[in-house]
Amino acid sequence: MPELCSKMPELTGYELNVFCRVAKTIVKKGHLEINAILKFIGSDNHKQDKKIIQKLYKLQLLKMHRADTYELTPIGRMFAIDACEWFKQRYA
Amino acid sequence: MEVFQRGIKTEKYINSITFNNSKMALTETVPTKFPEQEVKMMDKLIQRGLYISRSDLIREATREKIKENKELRSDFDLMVKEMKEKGDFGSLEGKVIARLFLEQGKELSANNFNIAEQKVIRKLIRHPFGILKAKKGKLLLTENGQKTARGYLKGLAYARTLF
Repeated sequence: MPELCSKMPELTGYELNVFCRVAKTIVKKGHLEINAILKFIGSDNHKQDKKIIQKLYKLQLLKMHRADTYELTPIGRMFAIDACEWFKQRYA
Repeated sequence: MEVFQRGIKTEKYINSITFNNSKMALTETVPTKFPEQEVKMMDKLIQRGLYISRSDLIREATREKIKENKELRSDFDLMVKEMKEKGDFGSLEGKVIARLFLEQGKELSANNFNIAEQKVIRKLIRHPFGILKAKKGKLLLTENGQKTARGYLKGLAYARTLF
C-alpha cells in the first residue's frame, strides 16, 4: 500500500479547499467559465487558483463543456461528496 | 367591452385599470442575456405552443427553480440530485468502484468482472487521479479511489431517502 500512495496524485489543504468551493459553485450555478468560477468562489489569488483549476482539469475531476466552460465529472462529483464536508452539513 | 360601451360606467373601468397598474408596480423588469443557442431553443418551445412567449418560459422556469430550492435542504441535497439526474448512480464506473470497495477483502481481479466492466477497469487504471491500481493481477483501490467509492455509496444511500 505505501507504494501506491507514493505515486498517487494528492489533493489536500488549499487545493482541496479550492476544489470543494469550485464543486459547490458548479453544482449551484451549472457549468461556468473559468473567470466566473474564480469570481463566485471568492478567489483572492486568481493566478494561483487558476492553476489549481487547471490541475483539477488535468486530474479529470473537471471537464470542459462547450470548449470554455467547466463541469464536474462523475468521479469529481463522487470524490466531492466524501472529501468535502457536505455530508456533515446536510441539515445545516 | 360591455362596460366600455356604457358611458356611465367608464369611470369604474378606469378605476379598475388604475388598480391593475398599482399591482403591476410590484413587478420588476430583469434584463438578462442568453446565449444565442438557448434563445433558439426557447423559440422552438414557443413555436411548439408550450409557452406563450420567452418571458412566460423564463418566468415558469424561475418559479420551478425557486420551488425546487425550497424543497432541497442543503448543498448536499443539490449534489445528490445532480448525481441522480446525470445518471452517476447507474454508471458502470460507480458500480465497479463500489464493488471493489465493498469486497476489498476478497482481492478481486479483472476476471471477476464482465467484459463491459473490464473496459471500465482499464479506464480507471489509466485515470490521472489514480483511482485504481493493478498489483500482481489483483485490483486495489487507492486512497483517492476509496474516497470516491465512499462518496458514491453515501450519495446512493442518501438518494434513496431523498427521492
